[in-house]
Parts: sequence; C-alpha cells; structure tokens
Amino acid sequence: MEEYIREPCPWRIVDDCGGAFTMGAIGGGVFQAVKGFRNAPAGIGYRLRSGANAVRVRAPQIGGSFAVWGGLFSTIDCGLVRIRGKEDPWNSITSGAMTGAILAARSGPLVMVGSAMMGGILLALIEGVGILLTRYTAQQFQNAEDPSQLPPKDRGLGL
Amino acid sequence: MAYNQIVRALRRSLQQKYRATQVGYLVHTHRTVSTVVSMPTFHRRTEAPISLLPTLCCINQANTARCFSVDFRLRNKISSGDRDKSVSRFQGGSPASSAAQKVKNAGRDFTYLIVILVGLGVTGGLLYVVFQELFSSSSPNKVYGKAFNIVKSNPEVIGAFGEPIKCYGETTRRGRRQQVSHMEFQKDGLKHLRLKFYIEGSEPGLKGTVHSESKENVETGKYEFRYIFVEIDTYPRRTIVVEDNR
Repeated sequence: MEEYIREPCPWRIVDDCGGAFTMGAIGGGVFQAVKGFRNAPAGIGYRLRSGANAVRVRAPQIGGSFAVWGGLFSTIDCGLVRIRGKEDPWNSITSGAMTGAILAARSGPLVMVGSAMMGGILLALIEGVGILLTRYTAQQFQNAEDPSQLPPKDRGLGL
Repeated sequence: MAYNQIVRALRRSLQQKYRATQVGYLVHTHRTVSTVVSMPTFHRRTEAPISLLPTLCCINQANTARCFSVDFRLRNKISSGDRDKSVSRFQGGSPASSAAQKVKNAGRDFTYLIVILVGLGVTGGLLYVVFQELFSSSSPNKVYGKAFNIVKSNPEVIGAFGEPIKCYGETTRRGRRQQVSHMEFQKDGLKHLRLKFYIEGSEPGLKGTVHSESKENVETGKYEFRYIFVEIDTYPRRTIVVEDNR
C-alpha cells in the first residue's frame, strides 16, 4: 500500500481520458475489423482490405468518444469529491448520470433523462463489481488474521 | 450488443408473424416469382426481383422501422448480380426445409433467450448488491458515512486537522478511493463491523487514520459504535478518542 501517494484527483482526469481512449480504440478496432471483414465483397484480399479500412476509419472515432466520456466523467467525479469532501460510490454513480445527461444535451430533455439513467445504471454496475471485489478480498483478510486478538491493540482506549 | 440482440430477436418474431400474410400477397400478385415463398428470413440478402421492391418496401415500412427498408434497397442493388443463383438455391428445398428451418430458428431464439436471461440475471444481481450497499443501514458504506459525520464534528479533530475535513478509503490502482476497508465478524453471537478509513484536513501533510468498530444492537438490529478513534499518522503521533462506549 502506498501511504505517501499524492492526491489523485486532478491528475486522474488525464489518466482516465487516456485510459478510455486506449480502451475504445482497441475494443472498437477489434469490433470494426470483424465488421469490415464480414461486410466486404468475396475474396480474402477484399475482406482484409475492408477490415483494415474500417479499423482505420472508425477506431479513432470510437476511441475519441470514449475519451470524451472518460474525461468528462472523471472531471465531474473530482468536482464532486471536492464539493462533498467524501469519497464513496455515490460520486461515481452521480457523475456517470451527469455525464450521460451532458453528452446528450443537444438531443433534448427526454433523451437527456434516458441517457442519464443509462449512465447511472452503467456506473452502478461497475461500482457493484468493485464492491463485490472488496468484499471478497475482505473475506480473505478475515481468514488471515484473528479478530479476537485485535482489541488489546487499541492502546489509547484502555482507560 | 445485448440491446442489438434483443432488437433483432423482436424483429424476427415480428417477421415470423407477418410472413404468412406477406407471402400470400406476393404470390397472388406476382405469379412468376413464387420462389419468394421459401425465403427463410425476410431481412438481409433478399433475393426478390426489383419489380417486387415497391410492394416489399411498403409492407416492410408498415411492419418495421423505416431505416430498415433503406438498407434493404441498398443490399438489393448491390447483390442483384448473384440474384438468380440464390433464387435457384432456395427453389430446391422450399417445402421440405420449413421444418428444419423452424428447428434452426427455434434453436437460435433459444440461445438468444438464454444469453438475455443470463445478462439480466447478472445485471439484477449487481444492482441488488449496489442498492444493498448504498441504502441498507447496516452496510459498511452507511456506517462509514455515520462515522465520518461524528469524526467531522469532533472539536479535537477539527483543532488538529483544520476545518474542511475530507475522508477517503483505500486507494485503488486507478486512483479511486471509494472502497473502505472493513471487516465483519461475529463475537458473542453479535455481528461486529470494523472500519478503517483516512481523513485529511486543511493542515498540509497531515493525515489521520480512523478506526472504528460497531456492534449490532440486539433489540433494534442496527449497528451502534463501540469506539471511534483517530490516529495521526505524521510525526507527532497521537491518538484522538472520539467515542468510546465500551
């Protein structure tokens, strides 16, 4: 565990932006390669060329939209951390919903609400995975150490 | 992806429902092209002649989305070269293939159904976990919030750390600090919950670790704090006892 790590918050925005771009570019690249390969005239040469072309055209676009999402999400998240002074799963869920709403702002309020719900649910799912992981690791720690020996450790409380 | 599959499955069921009427209609108007009867699925790769296109498009527009018919027309234009070949292929097994086709379609629908059900199950399970964590009063997250509120309003802690106090949990690899390290255990038949989180105030370079333990109340079933204390981690180390109900 890194005790003396610096404050993650402003730097995390750049970090998330880049991570999201990478994720979108690689995932979108694979997806578009398969799509272009299948959606081409017969002949292996045409198929390969079509796949490569689809990747060239579409993968950066997908990466870019992922990056916009990640950057905006992280910015709102950091803002919420700053305002509330507390870090808990609510921050993620709220900022996911707000990101969805903001990015759909040009399509009208109804679409914004739908998009916000999608974002919130998506981030809630991700948080759920995180909570489950923590619970699982906590379970492991519990087996490792014996809880009944810990109370004497609270030396300041012996009075 | 899942959304696409759902849409596709819905579309297919719609088409199955309407196919009978379409086919009847087509056969009546265009006797020459009776091969259309055996078309397995209506969308994608339609081998219908160009003359049929307007009627097909009309039906299509009535049944499904508009963008669909555009797609259909494009495909038709492109694949008009190998049209005859495909038609002859389908002509061969028109009455016999229906049973096999049905089995095939049913199998595919069933696979999609299983995929959708598994997805829904996983989603529901994760949402249940999240809601339990966020709204149940005995979840570590709620206890964390309560403990932080008590710590935040303690004058000694404010004096040591400075006024706007913020709290966070364990830092993950991605710079998230939302998960609080906690441990649940049973002692004397009662559930105990032990939490550890960190606080920081406006004083630069000063960090504190908050330890707390709460015990389940027998009557109400809610958690009550046994102790909360703050350890200052930087050099003049000391311990501030915020609450001690032992």
